[in-house]
Amino acid sequence: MKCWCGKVLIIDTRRLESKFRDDGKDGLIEGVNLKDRIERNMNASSYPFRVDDSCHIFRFTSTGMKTIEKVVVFDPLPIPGIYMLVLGDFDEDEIDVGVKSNNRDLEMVLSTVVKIIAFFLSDYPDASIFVEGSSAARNRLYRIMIEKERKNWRELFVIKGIDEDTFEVFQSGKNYSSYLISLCKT
Amino acid sequence: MQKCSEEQANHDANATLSDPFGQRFSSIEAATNAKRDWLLSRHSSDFWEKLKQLKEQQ
Repeated sequence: MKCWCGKVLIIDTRRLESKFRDDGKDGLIEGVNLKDRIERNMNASSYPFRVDDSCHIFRFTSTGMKTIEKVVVFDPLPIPGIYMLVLGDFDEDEIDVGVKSNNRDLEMVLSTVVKIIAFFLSDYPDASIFVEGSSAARNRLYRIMIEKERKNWRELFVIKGIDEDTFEVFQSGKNYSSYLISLCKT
Repeated sequence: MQKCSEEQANHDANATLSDPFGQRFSSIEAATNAKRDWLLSRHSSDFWEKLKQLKEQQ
């Protein structure tokens, strides 16, 4: 199988799998039990998720029409304190970061991602998450989800809407190319 | 006109090279590296400077 740069790679998922333990002990944290405030404030149902030892890689299982393993990664950008969000699907031991799953559970997947963001920010309260989708359509989708849960997240997050020349507090009805999410400190 | 077409072609070629979406990766590290490269190439240096300032103001 070819990767994005065209090189043929030998796939070894054992290293990846070793990051996650299924014994419910060291290194495996059931995020749903840790952040009561998040649970109280979020309306939409979500999937339970797991986090690796670094607290940067999260996994959950989407169970819509199909069963799909999802991964959420927070990786630092070259700006201190800002992490980009990567959302991908595991499929046949590979990761696809742009797939349209069409699993008919989009709301639940996005709700899970929001809770994962909150979980990450509660461990890294000074960090901000930079979110940018693969297309304008996907960014609009993110906006719709943000708007839908706005009354719930506004106590938790400060969300900035970003376009090439616009950096402002998120406003309903406006399309942005990306979002910057931080924990509300007040 | 031809220059615009050439520029567009170069832009498209670069976009194809750096666009991680629709590609599959053998590891999380490869996927995150590709997405970071894509994000960095997608925005101007002014954009990242503004973002840095925004973060510093927080």
